[in-house]
Amino acid sequence: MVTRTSVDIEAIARRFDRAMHGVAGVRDLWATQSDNALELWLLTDSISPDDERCLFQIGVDVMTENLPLDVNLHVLNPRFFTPETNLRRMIPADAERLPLQ
Amino acid sequence: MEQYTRLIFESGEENRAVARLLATQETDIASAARRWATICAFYAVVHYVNAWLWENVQIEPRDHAERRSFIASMAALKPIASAYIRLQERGYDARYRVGFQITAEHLTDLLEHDLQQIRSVIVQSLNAGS
Repeated sequence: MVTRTSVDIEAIARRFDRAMHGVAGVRDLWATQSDNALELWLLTDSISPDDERCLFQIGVDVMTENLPLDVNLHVLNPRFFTPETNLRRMIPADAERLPLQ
Repeated sequence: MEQYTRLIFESGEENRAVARLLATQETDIASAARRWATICAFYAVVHYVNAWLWENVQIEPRDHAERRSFIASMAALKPIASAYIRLQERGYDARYRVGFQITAEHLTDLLEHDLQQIRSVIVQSLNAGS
């Protein structure tokens, strides 16, 4: 029988939120959870490569904090998509929107 | 360096060479070529990391998730984790997401910054052990 690992998603969101202070262009954070992984979808403005690297580094920092499941961060940066692309459509329909300050 | 490590590493070098070749295409399919260059760049680092894993722990990851877990958990690989994940994300976008596009400038940034950083760390580590 597969059991879902219990994880406080909002606590992880708060951890991200604190770490992302000072990074410009962060808009929304969404999450989906499977049996062994938490997928985080970060929607941004059109941010620079350096700001994007900063966000992925935050993702690595959170990922390696001995959480009980894998955490995968997906940064949806409009800079890498055509202007007519609806990035919100790339976030799974069952994703939960997490509060950011 | 083990012979098998060298073979895996050479696969990375081939993918890197193809990425650089595609990045310089100035034809009517330049946009598609840059997307495929992004994918090749990711597979270059897949092989670089696999070469390091084989040389150091004699493991070949079964899939991307397992490889990513090794990167996150091994001290020697952790410095390349964010660059690896960035390349993985953009490679996935280029392969599967309709609407993905990458300018020549941003592709150069991926190749010369993220890919190069990973290659440098792996090469340095492999050479230190040989």
